Amino acid sequence: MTKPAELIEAELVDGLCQRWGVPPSVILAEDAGYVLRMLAILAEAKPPEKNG
Amino acid sequence: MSKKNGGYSVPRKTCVLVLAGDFEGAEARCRLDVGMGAYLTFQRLADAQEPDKLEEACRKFGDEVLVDWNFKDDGEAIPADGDGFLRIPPELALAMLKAWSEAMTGLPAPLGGGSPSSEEDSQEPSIVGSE
Repeated sequence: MTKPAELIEAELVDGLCQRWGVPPSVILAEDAGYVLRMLAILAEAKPPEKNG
Repeated sequence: MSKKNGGYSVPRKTCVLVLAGDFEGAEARCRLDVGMGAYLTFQRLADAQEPDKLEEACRKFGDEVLVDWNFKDDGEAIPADGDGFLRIPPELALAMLKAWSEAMTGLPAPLGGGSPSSEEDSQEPSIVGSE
């Protein structure tokens, strides 16, 4: 079961708003290439979650 | 201010999608400098699986992201805009949208969603460069 695109979008924007302390309007105006590439790199570098 | 140089064109950040398989030889240059709002709109429309929204995504992509391509129909160049994008086969249009989405992050499957892998992956576009 996968999340609907609207939920993925809302979680992404809300997460960035909380992380950077800015409203959604600022996030939506940011350069998508830079933001997405940065998030992808951070996700790649994140250590795998431990079970238990 | 001097205008003797005829103005300065601000350089765009773009990438070139090079197609393989059934679409070998086709190349398309696309913009990479779009805002988060526009990118998320494309994702939402392309994932909607509804013909109307998919058509809107394709038209918007052709008008706002597509810069240039070498696509022809019976020897006549297809315009690199929304109308032209709607003239290409749907599987090619979707493959281009997916490849552009990957080019935006530099990594496959940017948001953890999108289409599952298939045997046709080898026919999908690859990104040969950006500037």
